[in-house]
Amino acid sequence: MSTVTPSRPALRSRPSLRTRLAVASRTVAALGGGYTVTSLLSLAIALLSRTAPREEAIAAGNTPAFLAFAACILWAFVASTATRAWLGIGAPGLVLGLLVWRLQTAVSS
Amino acid sequence: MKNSFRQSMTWLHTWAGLLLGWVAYAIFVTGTASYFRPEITRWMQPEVAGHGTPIDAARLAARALEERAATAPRWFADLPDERTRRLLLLWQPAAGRFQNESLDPATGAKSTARPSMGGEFFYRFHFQLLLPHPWGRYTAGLVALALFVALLTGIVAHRRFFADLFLFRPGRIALRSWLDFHNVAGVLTLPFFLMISYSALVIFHNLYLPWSAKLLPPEKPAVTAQASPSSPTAWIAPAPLDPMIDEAARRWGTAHSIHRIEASDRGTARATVIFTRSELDSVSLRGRDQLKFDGVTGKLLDDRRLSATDGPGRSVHGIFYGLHLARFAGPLLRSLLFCLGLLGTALIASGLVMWTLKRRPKLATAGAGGRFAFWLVERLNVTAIAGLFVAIAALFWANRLLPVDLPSRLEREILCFLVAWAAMLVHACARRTPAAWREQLLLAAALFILLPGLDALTAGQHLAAAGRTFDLAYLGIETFFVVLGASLAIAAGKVARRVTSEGEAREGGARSASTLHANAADSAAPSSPQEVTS
Repeated sequence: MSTVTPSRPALRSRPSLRTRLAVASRTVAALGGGYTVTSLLSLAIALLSRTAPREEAIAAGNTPAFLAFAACILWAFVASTATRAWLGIGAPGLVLGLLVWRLQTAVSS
Repeated sequence: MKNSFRQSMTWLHTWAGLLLGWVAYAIFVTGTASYFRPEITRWMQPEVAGHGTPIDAARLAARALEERAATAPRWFADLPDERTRRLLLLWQPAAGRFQNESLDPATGAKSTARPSMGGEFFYRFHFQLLLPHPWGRYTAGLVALALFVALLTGIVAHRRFFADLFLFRPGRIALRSWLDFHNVAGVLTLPFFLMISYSALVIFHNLYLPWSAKLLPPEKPAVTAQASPSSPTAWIAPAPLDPMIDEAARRWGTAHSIHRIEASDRGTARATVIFTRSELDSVSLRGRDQLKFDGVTGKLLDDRRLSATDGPGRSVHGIFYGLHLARFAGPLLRSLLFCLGLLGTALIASGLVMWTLKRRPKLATAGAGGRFAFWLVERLNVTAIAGLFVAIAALFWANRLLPVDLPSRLEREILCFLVAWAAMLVHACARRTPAAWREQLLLAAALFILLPGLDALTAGQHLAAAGRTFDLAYLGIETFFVVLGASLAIAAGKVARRVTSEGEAREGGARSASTLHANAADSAAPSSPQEVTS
């Protein structure tokens, strides 16, 4: 069991500017970063299954992709620091981005 | 971010839950009502009588379309079935927008029923929220995502949720019984909630994730280039629909049969007519049979199930879509899903109430901003939770009270809904919190309980006819109005005391409430094992 903090910052203690910026940063990572990872994952799956009919490839990519969004949001607020939050979302984003870029050049060539 | 994994999940659960909770609540109420969309329409348009088989309706639709839009390139007809008394024609003229017309499904004449959206209002509100396209769908998607995340975080925040299932202490301490209810409802409905929230995201996947559709090359560019309806070629007479309807009746029978007829490219050599069977026998929306006819010769081209060529992507998508709409569900399963929807609605409401309950003890030391935020959340809670039911009741009252031939009657019904809701916001701001809860819940209760009486006064002949034929849809809705009204009245008696901690202070429970607050910060479930077993 975790240790309990006796007073939780609610209405009484005003959070510092630093805390506020960290929460804002994590929120951007969760929503912006999360959406980017989700889009890239859906694209990667669709491109990998492009031999299937078009609608099938799109559905195959989009249907599971939202799971990545939920995972990113969770990670953004679980990570111990805001930097780690960004790293945990940026790294898979970069890998997926490279994969999509490779697959896409293969499609257009 | 806050010390531990579980605390950060609790933090996220609290704030994401609050920000989207009000919209989520309205989406849940209207979505739950949408399980009985045709039945609500039945009540709101009592003039529409029964009808024959879908095959009879198909013949009426074919004749009506021929009279109204003989040269239109595209026709649609949505046919009635066991639950839906609706015959809707849609056609697209060679130049111009889609036009539509509702027919009386029994006679094929122009419908004389009172203009009303019926159950469609709840269905549309559920994912469009009366916002301009596509903002309602974006908002609904955001809520679905937040709900999905809230469920995952809720599992962690209330980590002892299997123990919580056997823990309900409806005692005097308000926060604790709300918390227990929130946990029990959350655990009971967890599979339903996970399915509903994820499928909600998946349904509009092309809107939320349009990138693959933009990137992947179109399948048959040659055909789409030709398909422009303005090509100045001579009109090629399309084949009549009646022989095709006969063929559909031969293959599918007459009872559970054609759901929709779609004629495309009429007047050209590429004309096709597609008959889609009602999907009631399959969970997946893709599990529908289709007949495809040549629109010029009338020859059957294809008889297949939509899902026949589906891979895993479209299969899973179709199942999610079908599960969300639950058109496959019979009366019993449908009622069960409806109850789960109600429980989910109550779950969201209890979470919103708890947000204020937890913060009330700290209010004395809060700054002006904190006090205002608290005041605002309490007002919005009353308006969103209790006021919505007043607004819905107002919609049903307007449906019976507005004159049948009033101009733009359909829009005015919705206006009544909005005005009633806005009035509830004003009322919530003007009154103290317990009084606002009690009065709005009592008003909603009275309006719902009196609805059958109003119906007897204003549409007595329809009610009598429904009684004679034992029309379960009509009478069931009337009964539900009374049950809902009674529940709201009971809630009015109890909730006013429990949504504030004033009642607790009177009963000397304030001390336990504050210790509970410390407990709740640590774990959603209380820590002593005796309480679990008691």
